[in-house]
Amino acid sequence: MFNGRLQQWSRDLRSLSRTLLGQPAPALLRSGRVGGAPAVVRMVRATVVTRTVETPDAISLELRSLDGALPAALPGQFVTVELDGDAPKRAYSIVAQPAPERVVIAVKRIADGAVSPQMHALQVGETLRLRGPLGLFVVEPDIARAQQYLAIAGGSGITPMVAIIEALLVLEPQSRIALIYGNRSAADTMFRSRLRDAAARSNGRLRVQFVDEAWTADSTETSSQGRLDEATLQREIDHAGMAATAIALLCGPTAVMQHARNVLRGRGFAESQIREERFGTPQATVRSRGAGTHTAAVFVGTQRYQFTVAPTQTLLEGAQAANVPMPSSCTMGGCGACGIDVEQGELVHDEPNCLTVAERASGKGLACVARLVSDCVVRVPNQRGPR
Amino acid sequence: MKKADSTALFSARMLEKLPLPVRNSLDRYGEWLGLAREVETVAVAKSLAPSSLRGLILRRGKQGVPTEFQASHRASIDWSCPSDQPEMAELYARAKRGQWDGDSLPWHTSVDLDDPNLHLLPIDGLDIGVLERNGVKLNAKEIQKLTQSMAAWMLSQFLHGEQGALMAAAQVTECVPFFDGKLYGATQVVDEGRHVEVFRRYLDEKLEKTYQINDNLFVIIDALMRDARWDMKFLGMQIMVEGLALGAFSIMYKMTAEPLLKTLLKYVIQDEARHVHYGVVALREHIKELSERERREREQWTFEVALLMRNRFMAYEVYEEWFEGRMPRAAWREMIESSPAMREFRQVMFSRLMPNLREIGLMSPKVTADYDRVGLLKYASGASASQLTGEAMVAALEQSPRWSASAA
Repeated sequence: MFNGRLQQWSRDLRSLSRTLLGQPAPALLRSGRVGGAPAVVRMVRATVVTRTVETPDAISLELRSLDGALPAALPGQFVTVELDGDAPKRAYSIVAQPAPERVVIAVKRIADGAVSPQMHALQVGETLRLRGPLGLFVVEPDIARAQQYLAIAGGSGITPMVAIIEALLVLEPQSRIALIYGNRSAADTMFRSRLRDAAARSNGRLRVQFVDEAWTADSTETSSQGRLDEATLQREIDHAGMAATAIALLCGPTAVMQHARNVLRGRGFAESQIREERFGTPQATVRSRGAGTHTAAVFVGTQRYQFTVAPTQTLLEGAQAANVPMPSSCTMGGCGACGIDVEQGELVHDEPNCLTVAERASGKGLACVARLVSDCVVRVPNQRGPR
Repeated sequence: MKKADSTALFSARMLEKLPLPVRNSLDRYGEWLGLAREVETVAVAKSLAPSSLRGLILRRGKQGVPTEFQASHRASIDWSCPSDQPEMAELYARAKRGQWDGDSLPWHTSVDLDDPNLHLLPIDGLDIGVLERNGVKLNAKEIQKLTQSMAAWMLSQFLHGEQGALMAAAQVTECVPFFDGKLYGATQVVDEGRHVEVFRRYLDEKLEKTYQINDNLFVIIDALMRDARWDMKFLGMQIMVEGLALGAFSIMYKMTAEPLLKTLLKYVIQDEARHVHYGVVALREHIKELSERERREREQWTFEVALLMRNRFMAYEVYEEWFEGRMPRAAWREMIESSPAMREFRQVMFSRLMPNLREIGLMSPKVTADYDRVGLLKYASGASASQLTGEAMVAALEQSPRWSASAA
């Protein structure tokens, strides 16, 4: 106690003498960037801190970075995950970011999948590598905006929607959201009670319409029975009462996305109002249509480079192996730094990635996730950084 | 009440002949003496003197170590857990519904400090002419950086004020006599913690600079933390500091063109409106039960502290960073006093305070005349915290012009 006082008096004396001598204390407590999002999205090691069973074949994993804070995730973004060993990388949407160094992802087991069974086997304390947040399937809430959102999700396509819906409910208080969410059955529905509770608390701002293929005892709150085909979607969108000025958010199996696009176009939704996230891998397409080594010709500025790309390589990996200076950053399809214009030939892309529907339609591509189905000619439009 | 004019203690001719560091030291001593002359009531002087010594002379807020002290307030626990204050119970329910997560703010927003179009505060908010008359020429980029420094200084003081409010909210929760008040107080502790979180994060990640606590702010927080009387803590923190902070947040919300800061302030303002309301509810009945002597002491304390807060937030920390050794401290003070943005801050801060003082019964005819004399009475007719919601406050701000006529 006495020691403490003595130290305080000593500090007081030093401070007083500095003041009397006209030497003020430092004005700044600290300067320079402290914490926050790093400029470049990097790979970090992470550990599993929580494992929650969501449905018989889906779990949530809370992952904590062992290498410091991750950039703040926008609602709808994903991380890519690499397990130890030689398992391929996979992208999982961020359901929540409870702290700067933590993200929650949800993983649905695919019986013959290369990664999801191993993800399901992960226990608390085990480690993996992750990179992110990445991706442009995002909604940036605007507190002043009053907007209608029509979200259509099938199965694990709900994962980015959860983050988007929860952010909109908090940060965009004048907006309304309708979610049409299809599953095999109530028991197979991820985040069912979480969404139902959010709707109950939302003062009518969130409407959730469950569509189950199989009717079970748990289906009491289900809006309708069936698959998310065009007829069902027409009926559900009528129930949701959403105008064609709503922003449509789509995520789910390819067939559901196609049905949803057809229905929305028929109802007068403009292309710019439809946003979608695709999950899947292009290996099947490559295997069926273009197995083998192909030649890529790449224009960078006025230079033309030609090299071969093996079936296991992306266009960027082929370029790097041939020392071709193609720009890149995240190498995960999330930042857009390796954007290309496809002039000839056919490419398929690992999904998800940050290409917009309009970019896909106009022949844009991403070298880091592009796989060649045929020989091709591409051009690097301009040197640019991550977007 | 005399206007603070420290330089009048020394003749201008005498000052001009002295080297700049000596002039600045004399200027600082003059301010100390000016403060002593400004406080007219013995009870107020007695309550502020020890904190003034620690804050202004020993500058404990800037010693680089935590400030430790022995709290002296009386706490209470009511084991009967009564429902004893419906207005506070309603406020508690509203506070629970109004909780938000600092992580959910749009932190991805780019705040590029080198972007000439980034306007944290209006670029014409400072009276740069005063600097030029004192031989300091700044180009457009430097003026923008100086404006950013002023914004960082204000936000730093918000941060320090919020940390004081966090500790005070915890103390007030211990000593408030109402059970419903304790429940509400718990939400305010969480609110203040969140405000510390978001201001610190904004300063660290976006402005990349945090200023030390202002000596005068230290004095007020130090005095309130050590005062043993629960109603003085309420009066000081919930009505004065929170009320003035609410005014300051509101004006910054109105002025800034930076979207993340605007969003952050909007959320903070809505919390603060509840905090001030809590103070009004707690004190309204209590003040009626005080003796006239006790009521008058609080009224006078409030008036004098209000004026000290108006006259003494001169951002000297920014001066020391930018202009120490280049121009006199008194010239910087002149610039702050004549800058439109700072004048608006000093005036509008009171628009949220005065109606609350009226509502809790600290605006007797005598002190009303004092407020009139110093030009603050015009704010007394506004709505009090108990009549205003946070949403209404933000809506009113969005409709008001950037500069008020009084500050132009």
